[in-house]
Amino acid sequence: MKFLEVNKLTIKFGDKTVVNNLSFDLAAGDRFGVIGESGSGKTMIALAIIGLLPDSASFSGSIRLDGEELLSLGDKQMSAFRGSKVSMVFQEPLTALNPLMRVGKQITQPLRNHNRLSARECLARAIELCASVGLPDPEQTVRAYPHQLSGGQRQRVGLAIAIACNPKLLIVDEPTTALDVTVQREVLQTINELVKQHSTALIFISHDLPVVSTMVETIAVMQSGNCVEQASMSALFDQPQHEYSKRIVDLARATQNRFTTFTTKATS
Amino acid sequence: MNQNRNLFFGLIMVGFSAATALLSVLWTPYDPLEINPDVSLAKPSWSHLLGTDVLGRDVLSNLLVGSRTTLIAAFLVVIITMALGVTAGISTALLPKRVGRAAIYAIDIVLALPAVLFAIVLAAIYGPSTFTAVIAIGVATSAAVAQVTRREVTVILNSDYVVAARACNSSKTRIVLRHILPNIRASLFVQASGAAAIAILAESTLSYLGLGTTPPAPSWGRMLASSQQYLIIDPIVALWPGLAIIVTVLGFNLLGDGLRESLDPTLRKSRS
Repeated sequence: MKFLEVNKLTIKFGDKTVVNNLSFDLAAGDRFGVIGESGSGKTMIALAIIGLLPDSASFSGSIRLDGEELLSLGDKQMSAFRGSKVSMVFQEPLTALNPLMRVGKQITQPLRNHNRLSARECLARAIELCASVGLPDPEQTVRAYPHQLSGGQRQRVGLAIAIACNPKLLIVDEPTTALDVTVQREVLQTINELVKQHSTALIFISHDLPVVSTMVETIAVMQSGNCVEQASMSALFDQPQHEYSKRIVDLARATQNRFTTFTTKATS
Repeated sequence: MNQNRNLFFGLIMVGFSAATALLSVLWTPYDPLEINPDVSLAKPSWSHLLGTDVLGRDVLSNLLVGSRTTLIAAFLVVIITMALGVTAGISTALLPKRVGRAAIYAIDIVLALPAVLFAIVLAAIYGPSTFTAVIAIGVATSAAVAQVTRREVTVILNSDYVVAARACNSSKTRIVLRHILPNIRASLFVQASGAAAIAILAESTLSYLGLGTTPPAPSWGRMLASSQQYLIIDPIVALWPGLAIIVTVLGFNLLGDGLRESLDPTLRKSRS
């Protein structure tokens, strides 16, 4: 049995279909990418899996996690999954953190929601988590407020929150879009290491093909709510099937080529 | 110092009013109700530091005792206003859309009622007293607090960090206590101190109109009202209660601004 099975998932806002008939599945430890332009329904997939679709959305199809149907679960039953089995890293590292709460408290929030821990255990665990996501000076950092950290550090805090309860599935929604390239690389490396270490399944949502290609094995290409192609990463690069896939692959190659010519010129 | 200047002066001004109120419990230069026709409208002197009013009552003693009424009224109004307003604001934001909207219309209706009108109705039914004035002012100002609170809560409910908190399984109560209240507390302090300032002015207004504190109990508003008749003969009698009101109201406003600044971690200097 697959760990996550999404079957004919359709999400609508009124008459507008934002996700149309999407199906995919993941085994435990699989890494899956979703790529598409903004507005193509990527984030809605993530919110559907974690059970946080806005009230105004209507949906059909099925999402089975570990054999349990998520879409029919009530909020109460769903809460057993959120944070502990499925968790999520958000796109904007600043707005996803409460500006008035020290980051240590925010990191252990999911822990306190799921297990009863003493303040001391929480602090110890927060420091441990900070260290595991590569935050500098964990003892100090847990006492900092979000505005005292850099963008990359904030995103690492977001990651620490997401992995606090050792989830089986981690959804990351454009985690590096708001970061500059060097920091982006480091954060991606950290995500990669953590996912491999705990053999967590990963859903990586992005609009950036070069970024997502380093992170996942299989990928779904989304265009205005439709999944136009699903393929392994290498198959997508070798033989893109759909018009849109071809375009993004070509564009990624073109940038790559331009970059190589530029660097060879610069070094010669 | 520069950062917390508001807080500093606000605390001094409000503290001064509070200190005079406490002092009046223990000691006043004269019995504030003692009438002495011999010294009617006396100028400030060593025997009567702030002079006397038309009935020869000592102004300083009245002012001291009056501050008690004023501050207690302000305190009660703040409690009523904040309790009603914040509860209504948060709950209408959390309610399902349709119910929430119906509740907002109800709040709008309360907002449309002038506090004075409400006070007149209450005074007509129960007779004028400080208590009816406090209820009227409290209920009337709570509508505005509810609207501001509701707006702020709605913004925070849609923020990423609340979605993130829900994504790691925080309950509604927890989200309200941990995320919403801390993030609106700055605005709540400003509103509470604003409500205190409004309450002092409104209590003075209602007492001035004879709808609040009843004679002979001293109140700043009533002192203003009675001194008005002798404004041409002796303007200085009106000056003292007016000054007292200004200092206290300004003090509460500064206090609110100062609290807001000191509660914002981005405005604080040190890392802890």
